[in-house]
Amino acid sequence: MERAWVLVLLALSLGAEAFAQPLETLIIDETKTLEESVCVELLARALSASGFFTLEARFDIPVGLNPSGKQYDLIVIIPEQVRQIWLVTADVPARLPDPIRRALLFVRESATQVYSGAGSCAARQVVNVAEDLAPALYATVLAQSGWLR
Amino acid sequence: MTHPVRFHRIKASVVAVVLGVVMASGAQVPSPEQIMIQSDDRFEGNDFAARVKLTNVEPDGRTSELLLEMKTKLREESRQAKKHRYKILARVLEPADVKGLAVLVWENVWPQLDDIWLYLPALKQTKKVVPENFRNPIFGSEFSFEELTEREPAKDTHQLLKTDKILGKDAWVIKSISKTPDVDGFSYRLTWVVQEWLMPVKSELYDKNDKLLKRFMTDEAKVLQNVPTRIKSTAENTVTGRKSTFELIDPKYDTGLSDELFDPKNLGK
Repeated sequence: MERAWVLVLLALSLGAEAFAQPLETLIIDETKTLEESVCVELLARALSASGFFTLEARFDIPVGLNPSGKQYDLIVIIPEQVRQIWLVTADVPARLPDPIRRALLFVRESATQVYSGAGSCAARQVVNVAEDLAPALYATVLAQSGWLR
Repeated sequence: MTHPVRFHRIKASVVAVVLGVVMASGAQVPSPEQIMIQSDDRFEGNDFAARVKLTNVEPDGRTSELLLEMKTKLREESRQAKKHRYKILARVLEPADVKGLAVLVWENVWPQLDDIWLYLPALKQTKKVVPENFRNPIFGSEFSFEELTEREPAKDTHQLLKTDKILGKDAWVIKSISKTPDVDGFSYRLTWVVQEWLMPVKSELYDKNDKLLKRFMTDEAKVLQNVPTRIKSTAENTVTGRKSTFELIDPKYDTGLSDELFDPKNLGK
C-alpha cells in the first residue's frame, strides 16, 4: 500500500509536462517462460496506464545499427538470466532532464512493486546506468547504434 | 504431451469403450501403463468452449478470482492415430489488470514438447514461450500445468494398487512413481481413474516419507454431449492449506470453432 502511494505521488509530480510528451520507451523482454512473460506484461501495463510512456516492445537486444532510425528516451531490459531490470538511458540520471528523471523513478517504483517477490513475480533488482555495469554498457552500445537519444 | 485445460476438458474415449468391453467380458485388466496412456490420449470432442472461473482461497480465508474464456480444437493430424491432441486457447476476461492476456497451446505427442504462445496486450506482441517448468503454478493458483493437465505417463512408472468407488463409479487406483522426483518435487502420485470414462478424477501427491503434499479432487463431473466432463475441481496444498478451484461455466462441445482462432498470428485480434 505504501508503494502505491509513492506511485500516486510520483505520478502527480510528473504532471502535465510529462503528459504533453510521453517518453518514448522500448521494453526488451528477454524472458522465455510464461510466468516471467506475464510479469513483464504487468510492468508494461503499469507504465502504459500512467500515460507517461509510449511503449514499444521486442524480445531481444538489438545488435547493429537501428534500421528504422526511431530513437527512444528510455530502454527497459528484462534479462532472462540475471534477476535485475536494467533502466538504460543515454546519460546518468543526474544529468537527464527533470521529466525523464522523474519518469525513471516511476518506472523504478512500478518495477519494484511488480517484482517485490511478494506476489507471483519472483524478485528482481532495478538498476540504472549509474548503478550497474550492464545497463551502462548497453547504454553505450545502444546509443552508438542509434537506439537511444 | 499435456495442456492446461485437459484436467477440465474431457475425453469420451473410444478406448474406454473398448476397455469396458474387455472388462465386462472378464478378460484381463489393462496394465496400469495402458490405463494412463489411454486416459491421456482420450477423445474430448472435436472442439470445446467454456468460461472458467479460477478461485484461490488463502489459508486466512482471503479469496481472489480469475475469469477465463477457453476454447479447444482437436488437431486433425492426431485423430487418425487416436492420440488425441488439441489446440487450446485461454484468454483472461477478469480481473482488469491481466484482461486480454491470452495463452495458446498446441499439444504434441511426447517426447515432443507442446508449442506455447502468449499474447501480451500491453506490449501488443505475441511471443513463443519455452514449455518448461510444468510444475510451476499457473495463474497464481495451486494448479500447475501438469496438474491441470494429465501428466505425461512416460514420466512415471505405474502400479495398479486396487479398485475403488469414487463419484459413484468404479475406479482404478494407480500409483505412479516419478522417474525424476527431485525435479518434480514429489515422490509418487496416486490417481483414481474412473473405468467407465477412462478419466482421472482424483489424485494425491506424496513425498518420499509418504507425506501428503497436494490433493486434486473432482467435485462435480457430468457427461455432456457424450463427453465425460469435469465441471468443478479443487486443488489443495495440504502443507500450506491454500486451495484453488477450477469451475467450468456454460461448457459446450462441437460448436464448429474455426482453425483461425488457434493461429498464433491471430492471438492479438
